[in-house]
Amino acid sequence: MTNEMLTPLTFAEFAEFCSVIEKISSTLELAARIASFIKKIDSDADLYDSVMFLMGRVYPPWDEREVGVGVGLIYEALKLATGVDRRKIEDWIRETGDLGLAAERAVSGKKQLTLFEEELTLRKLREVFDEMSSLVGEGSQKKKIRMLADLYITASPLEARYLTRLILGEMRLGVGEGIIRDAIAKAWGIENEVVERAYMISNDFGKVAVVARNEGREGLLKMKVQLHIPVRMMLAQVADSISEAVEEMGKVAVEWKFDGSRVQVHYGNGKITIFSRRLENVTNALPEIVEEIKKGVSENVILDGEVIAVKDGKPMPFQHVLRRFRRKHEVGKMVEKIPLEVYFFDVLYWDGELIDRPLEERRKVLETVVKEGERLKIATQVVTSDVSEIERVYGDALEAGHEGVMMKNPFSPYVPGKRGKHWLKLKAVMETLDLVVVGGEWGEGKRSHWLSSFELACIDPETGKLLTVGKVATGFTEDDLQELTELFKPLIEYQEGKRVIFTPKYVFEVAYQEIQKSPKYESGFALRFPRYVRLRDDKDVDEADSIERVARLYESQRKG
Amino acid sequence: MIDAIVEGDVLKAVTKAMVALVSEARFHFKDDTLHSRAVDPANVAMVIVNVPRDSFEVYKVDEEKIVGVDVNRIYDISKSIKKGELVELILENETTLKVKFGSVEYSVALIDPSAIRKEPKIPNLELPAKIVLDAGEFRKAISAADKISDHVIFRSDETGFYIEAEGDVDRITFHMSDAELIEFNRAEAKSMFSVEYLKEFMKVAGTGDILTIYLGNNYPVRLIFDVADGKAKVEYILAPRIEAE
Repeated sequence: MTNEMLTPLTFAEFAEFCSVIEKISSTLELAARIASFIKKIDSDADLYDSVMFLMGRVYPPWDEREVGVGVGLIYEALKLATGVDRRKIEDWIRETGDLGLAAERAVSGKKQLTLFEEELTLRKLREVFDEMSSLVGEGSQKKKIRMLADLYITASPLEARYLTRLILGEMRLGVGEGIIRDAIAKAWGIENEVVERAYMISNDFGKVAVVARNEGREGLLKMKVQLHIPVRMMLAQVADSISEAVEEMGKVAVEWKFDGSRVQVHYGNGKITIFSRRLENVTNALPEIVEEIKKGVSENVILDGEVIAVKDGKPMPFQHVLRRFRRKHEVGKMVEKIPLEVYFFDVLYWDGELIDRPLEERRKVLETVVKEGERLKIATQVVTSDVSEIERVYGDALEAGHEGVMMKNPFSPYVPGKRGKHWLKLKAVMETLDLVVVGGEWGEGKRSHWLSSFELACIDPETGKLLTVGKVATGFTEDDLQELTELFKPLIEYQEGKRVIFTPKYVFEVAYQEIQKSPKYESGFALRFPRYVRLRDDKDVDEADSIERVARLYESQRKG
Repeated sequence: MIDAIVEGDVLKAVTKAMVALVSEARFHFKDDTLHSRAVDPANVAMVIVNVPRDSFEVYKVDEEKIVGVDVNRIYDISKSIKKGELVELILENETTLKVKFGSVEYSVALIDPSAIRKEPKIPNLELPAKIVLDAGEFRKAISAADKISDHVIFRSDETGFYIEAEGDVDRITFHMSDAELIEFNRAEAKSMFSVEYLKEFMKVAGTGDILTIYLGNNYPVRLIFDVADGKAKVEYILAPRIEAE
């Protein structure tokens, strides 16, 4: 049956569903409702779009396309479509705390009539988003505003609420990845783990839902790691001690824990793609690494490694690597200023998927497919069960200016996206928290053009809700503040006096003296003497530290 | 096979009229007219273009045909046609339209008409007031209104036809009495419209062109321009805005 013959899902039906589940807080009920909603959808395209849109996504994170519409453009489009100006909408945001609700209100007083009634469908929205994301250069902003205004003219108030939130990437439904996974599992009677695995290797819940519906459990199990589509990176738990790791694993594969940034390199079909830890495509920012890979790596592989910045034989702080990743223009200049090297430590694919093979076997493949070069290395690995031997490696790593060691079970598979016991990390520095920046304040006096304080939140991973835990205003250099101000300015949703609210996008690593209980913040905890350590723009919002971790750290300091 | 020769100004006016609302459109080569119409993506406005057979120097249409055209492209090309110069349109196959003038010949790729949004029916509107005036005067009123507001009110009663706009501090009233209008039926009507659209429509009108307006009460308006020395007709239908409560 072709898609044209099926009943298209209207955006009105979708928005209506969103408004129903927005009021539900039970994660079980949310998953059940979403399951029955997506089960009833006819076409593959509508199923794909529904699943993505429920999570506030138009494209998977690794897709280079983006709609590219910020808050500013939304204000202008609303003005065109409804005649309501920015000032008024900002007033409404202050009242309701949400641009989506403000847009709903603007559209409900809509003054422009149309010649014909036309229903917005998900298909139509997808077409408009695809066209917007293809626009570049002069006049593209203006065209996007016009296209968005046309959508607002056609939209009902409720549709306007969710359209706005969708564009901002924040649906406020409390639907995180966990709930979508459970909903897909429930809809077609498949175990959560099978759905989870399919997601971890494809990073595209839309696709997972379509495969689950059409081919069921078998189809999901048949999904394999593919070249140029990123796989979630395997993560490590914090080890309390070396002896604990030895006890746990017996034999331990020990590597340095580099102070750099994680990369996944795909090389195949004559093409090289490099993904960051956030699964963003950073290939263009790393031309010298691409050249080295062409020279030293066999084709048809996916490698896992760490890029570090090295000057005069010494690693430069991790921050510099991220500066390289963010670079879009004049990349050449930066290549000289911040020279990079890549250390590979794992291989996920070589003429086929390898993730289920044990580490010791993958390591052998790694040594076959990578020929070391000037900037291209294989991370040294020592396999031992001798605690003092591991202590020696740990000392060497710190000596060389790196963070500590990774201790890996040599018999373990590569488990994408999992922070499990197969990989343990031991770091010299104290525990810090990675928190989402949700708001801020402008400075005073000569710093009044800079953001000088930032409001932080941890995440409830089930619902995706962000819960505030405090503000950080120390630990910044002037350069930091200048750079952060530039970075956060486009994310300002609204402003009241000095206070601003951001669309959540960036994560800060923050040190603190102590965690305290506090009714002042939504998490119920507050940080004592928080200090900014660095911007973790290798981390996504949903990878920030969870409320559970904050609670655990609170408990552990009481014990200690 | 289609072969048509017409004044360059006609092609320019017709494509300019379309680009105000859409970038692609379907052109119907009918026995007696070249016709096209389209609606903007938000369904707020419609444009209807007609060039009667008599306006062409040559109009050879073996078989009626619908072709899909990138109107931006043809408009761009037509801008370089000199005043008074003739242009020839030749359609030999489904995929290419040849546009010849002076010593140049453009081959423009056509778009599959089925890939272009199908034009809706022309709405049947009963509009009490009929106002005929010089398009140049209307144009002046709209560009003045554009400076102070994003909407205007069109109003007619026995004292004449009014265009009114109100800004934060300023107010503009444009008034033409029965005597100043070319034709007027003195009927009462009043509707409000977006300047954003009107100012796009104005671009087709030159001083001396005749504009016929059909106006109702909180209802769409029809604006019919006679352009290129009366050789082509461009009609816009625009949905109204309603007063905020």
